[in-house]
Amino acid sequence: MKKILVLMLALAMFITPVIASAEATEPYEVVVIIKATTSDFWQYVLVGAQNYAYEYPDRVKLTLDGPPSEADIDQQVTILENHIATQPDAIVISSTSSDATIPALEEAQANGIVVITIDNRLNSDCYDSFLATDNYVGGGLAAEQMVKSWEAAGIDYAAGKVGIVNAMAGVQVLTDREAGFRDKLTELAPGVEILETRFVDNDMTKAISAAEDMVSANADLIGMFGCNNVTGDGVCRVLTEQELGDKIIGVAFDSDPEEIAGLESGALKALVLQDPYGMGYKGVDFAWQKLTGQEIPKEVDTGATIVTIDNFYDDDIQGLLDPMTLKKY
Amino acid sequence: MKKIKLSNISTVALLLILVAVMFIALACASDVFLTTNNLQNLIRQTAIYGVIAIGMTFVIMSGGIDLSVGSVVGLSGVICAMLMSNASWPIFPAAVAAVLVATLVGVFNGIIIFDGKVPPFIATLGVNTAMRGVIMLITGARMISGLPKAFTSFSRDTFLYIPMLGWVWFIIIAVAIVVIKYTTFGRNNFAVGSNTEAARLSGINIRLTTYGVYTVCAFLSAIAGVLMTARLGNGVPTGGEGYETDAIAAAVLGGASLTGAEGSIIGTVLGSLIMATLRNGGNLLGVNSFVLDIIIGLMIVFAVMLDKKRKK
Amino acid sequence: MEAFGNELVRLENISKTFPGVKALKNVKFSVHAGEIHALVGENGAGKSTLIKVLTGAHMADPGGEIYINGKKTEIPNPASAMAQGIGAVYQDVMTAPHLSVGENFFLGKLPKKGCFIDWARVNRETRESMKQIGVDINPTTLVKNLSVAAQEMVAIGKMVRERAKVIIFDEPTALLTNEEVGQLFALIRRLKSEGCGIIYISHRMEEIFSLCDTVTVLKDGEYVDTVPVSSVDENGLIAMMVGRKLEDMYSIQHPEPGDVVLEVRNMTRAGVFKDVSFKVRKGEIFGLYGLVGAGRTETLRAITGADPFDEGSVFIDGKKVSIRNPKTSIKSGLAFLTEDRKRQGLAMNLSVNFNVNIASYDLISKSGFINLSKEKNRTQKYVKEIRIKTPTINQKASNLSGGNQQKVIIGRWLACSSKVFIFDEPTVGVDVGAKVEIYHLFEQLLKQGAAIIVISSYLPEVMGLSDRIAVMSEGRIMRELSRSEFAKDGVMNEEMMVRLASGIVD
Repeated sequence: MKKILVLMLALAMFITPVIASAEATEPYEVVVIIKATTSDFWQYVLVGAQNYAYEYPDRVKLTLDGPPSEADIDQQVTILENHIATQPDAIVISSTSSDATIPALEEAQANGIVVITIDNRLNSDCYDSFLATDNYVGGGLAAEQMVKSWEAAGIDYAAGKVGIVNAMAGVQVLTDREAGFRDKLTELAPGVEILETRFVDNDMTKAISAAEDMVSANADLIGMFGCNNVTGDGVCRVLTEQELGDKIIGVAFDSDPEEIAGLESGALKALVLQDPYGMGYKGVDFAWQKLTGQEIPKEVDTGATIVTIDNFYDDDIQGLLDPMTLKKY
Repeated sequence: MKKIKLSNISTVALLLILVAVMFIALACASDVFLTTNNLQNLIRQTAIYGVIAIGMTFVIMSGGIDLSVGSVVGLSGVICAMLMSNASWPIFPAAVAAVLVATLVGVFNGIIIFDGKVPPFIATLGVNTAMRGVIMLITGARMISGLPKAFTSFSRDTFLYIPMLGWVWFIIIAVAIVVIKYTTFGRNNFAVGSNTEAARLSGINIRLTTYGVYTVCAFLSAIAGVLMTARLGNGVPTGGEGYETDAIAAAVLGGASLTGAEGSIIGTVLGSLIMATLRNGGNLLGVNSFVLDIIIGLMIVFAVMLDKKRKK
Repeated sequence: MEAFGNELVRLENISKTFPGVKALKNVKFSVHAGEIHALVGENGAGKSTLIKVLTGAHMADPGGEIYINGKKTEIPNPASAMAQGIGAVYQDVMTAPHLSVGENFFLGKLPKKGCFIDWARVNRETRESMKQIGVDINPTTLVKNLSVAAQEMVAIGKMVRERAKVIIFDEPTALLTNEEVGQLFALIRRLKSEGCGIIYISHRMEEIFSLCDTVTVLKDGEYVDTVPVSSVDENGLIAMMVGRKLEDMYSIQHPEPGDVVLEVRNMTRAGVFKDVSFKVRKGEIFGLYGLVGAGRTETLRAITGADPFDEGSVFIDGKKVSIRNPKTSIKSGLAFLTEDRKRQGLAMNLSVNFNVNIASYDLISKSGFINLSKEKNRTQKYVKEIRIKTPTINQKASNLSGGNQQKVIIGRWLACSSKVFIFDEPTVGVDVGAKVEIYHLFEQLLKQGAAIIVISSYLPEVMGLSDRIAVMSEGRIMRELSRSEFAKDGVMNEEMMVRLASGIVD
């Protein structure tokens, strides 16, 4: 029994390189480093990356890594340095800090390693390509969809008011979304008055209170925008409870269960989704393209997707809502 | 104009005047403020914080502080949601079980503070962080949805025009007033807050009183947690974060002194109402969020300053 | 009359009005160099207000005049008082307990060398100043680790350093042992000989007679008289203070002692007290005398369950009781009235009503619910019976005078139907009038069949009141003396008591 096992192992060791070299050149070594391993969002990024590797086993061979939390900036730098020391062909990184990883990445580039950054912009030019969701554009998409929904529901938007519930002040992503929404809505529906933004400490109870008060204070409220999942949940709760989904068009970022239920029930008319899966998938793909000598753009918007009840059941949308369903490996 | 003598006005009267002024001002500024719908909203918005603030008042009266109320709210909320959603328990047993389990945190606080001799500030600060960790662990940091409709609609239901959340709050107010005024526990609480050594030498059981106040506080916070889950329609792992500051602010605004033995339930109720009315009014009038924060913060400081001046 | 030096301070026509109260009415007062001038009067007579005017804590009403070294001046704030050479030492010494002696000396103006504190200079100068007043204290010791007496010395040293010419002592001996009082007096006399003017406030008559040169009496905010101490006796002075003649205040009626109500056998707590045994009968006053630290308070705290003990047993009415905590001791009929009313006795910011009932809510409540009318009735009964002076029963305890606070606590224990009342320094911080009333309360208690234990460091009090006295030294009872022994033929043998208390056995 033992002898057979040893024999098989020996055989396997002998055969494998033969097969590999026979079928294709060796796949490139690509390291993917994310911001935090404990977060759903970053797990979705990894699903994208791993699916790519699964689909094209001859192109890339992945190593995945990252600190447990987004607060561990120095730990991420250490991880990065350790990987550079092993001389991979490419690094796909979502750097938590816009500065801390720069020296290591510059060294990597100097050593001929391809650097692809995702999600967070670096304060330096030491990357080959940068992929991220443009939150400003995403906010604009939400505004566009709100106008479309008004038209579909026959709501007159020559006048009326729109409320924004935002989670926190001073967070760039949220600021961009709000600004994108405001600018686009002003452009498309100049007659609509956008109310003072309510900030709610990312607390759902406060989000509900804020939405409730907006509804009661403004009889001519025709739309509400939640800038993230918590505020989206708040807007959704109020529109559901008071059955105002057809009178006030609710649009929100992200895809919490509450928001998805709201979309299905009609309380929310649209959700804006980012594409973490796409960031992972395209990030690795760009690394391969660069390594094989193809031109890649310096900056790419991975895009935000509008989900309404009309496209809700499409497979790719379901994949966006829960990228775990896309898992192929 | 005749000068009003501050010293002749009680804290409660002062707060009542403040509430009246705010109501009149808001009624003038916004035509929706005094509508049934908005007043119902106001009660809903006050009730959950109000219940926690009453618990906090007990602790502050005893000369302590409880910074763990936020995570107790969260813990009871997610346990209640998990029991109903994942384990398909009926509403009532789930709520009772959640309240009981979360109340144990208060007993734990009491033990650390009395037997472990850890200052309340530190003990409850630590417990708050630890309990938030427990919540994240048992929920995997995910929101719990799929709660029964009958449960989530509780937060919208009204009885005699008053929201059910309000009724729960009112009942708790009544019971708390009775406990403070008519029970030995209530009196002992004051005695300990005023002078622990004198209370001990007068034969008061300091251990039981300490356990008691932290347990009462956790119990009320746990009830607030169930109410919050009903209102949110989901078990939210981050629910209740930072609520301790609002509860302390409401109690202090209501005349409670952090050195103990001062304060009243009615004062705290009015304190909670003032804070909630400011937020509600701010939302109705569309006051800039940051300006509103400045107003609320200064209001707390100003009201306490006025009260101190009066007591001089 | 001794000849004093220049007049250092003179106050003329000083009035001070607070909303609703006239605390001082046209008071005059003066101190000369080399004079120790006592300021006496009952609580509320206006002593502290006058001192506060002098130290700049209060501004006198317009019309009042202050002269320093003969020149008219004003003292708008405490800093100005310091600058003009006026300093004060209070009984609860005003120092920062967590800082060192040296830091306290230089508080707010620590000398610097470059950008660092010049500690060498701080310590050197502090040590020098303390030497000047004949005290050797390490400048780096934290003040909280010093005895109260040493803290007072530090405060005095600091004033000497700051060249105070007039030094006010406000009840400086309240918390000192006899030996420390001796040291303090020596120091005060030294300051006098160096030409300082001393203002001395005390309730203790014998201190005034042994230390002071002149005495000014205030009553109800008004100036009564200023006389040389040599020209009055104790009774005369008290008569000036209270405005009426007083009988010997300690002579209260003692009923015939009854059965033994409390027996203590072999109480021991390692390192604190050892083998303490005594009996107390109904209707008698049992005195416990000793120096501070002799273990008197500690022993009785153990008997009443406030502190733990190692060995020993307590019998009430002949039956052994197990004392585990204050509650069991209260249940068996023991009442402990602590010396420090502020910290251990009263809930100061709560009402009289509350403070009377605090120990006995069990008796007037059913399943945790208090009968509020019984609570109120009870308080009103005691307010009347023991004449607690308070506008309403809802008045905060902190607003009452020392004597009335003591009465509130007595009311508390009456409400518990206590059998043995243990008074630890019952008249500390209480004025003469209230003292007399408290002693009358003793009389009442005895008549009702209670037994009283008095712990006191004040010999006239403990000897004047007690039927029997046990003298403690270093945790042991040195000797128990009957009245016939310590007051042979009506003459108090104070010397014997002090010898015993110092551990000397004849």
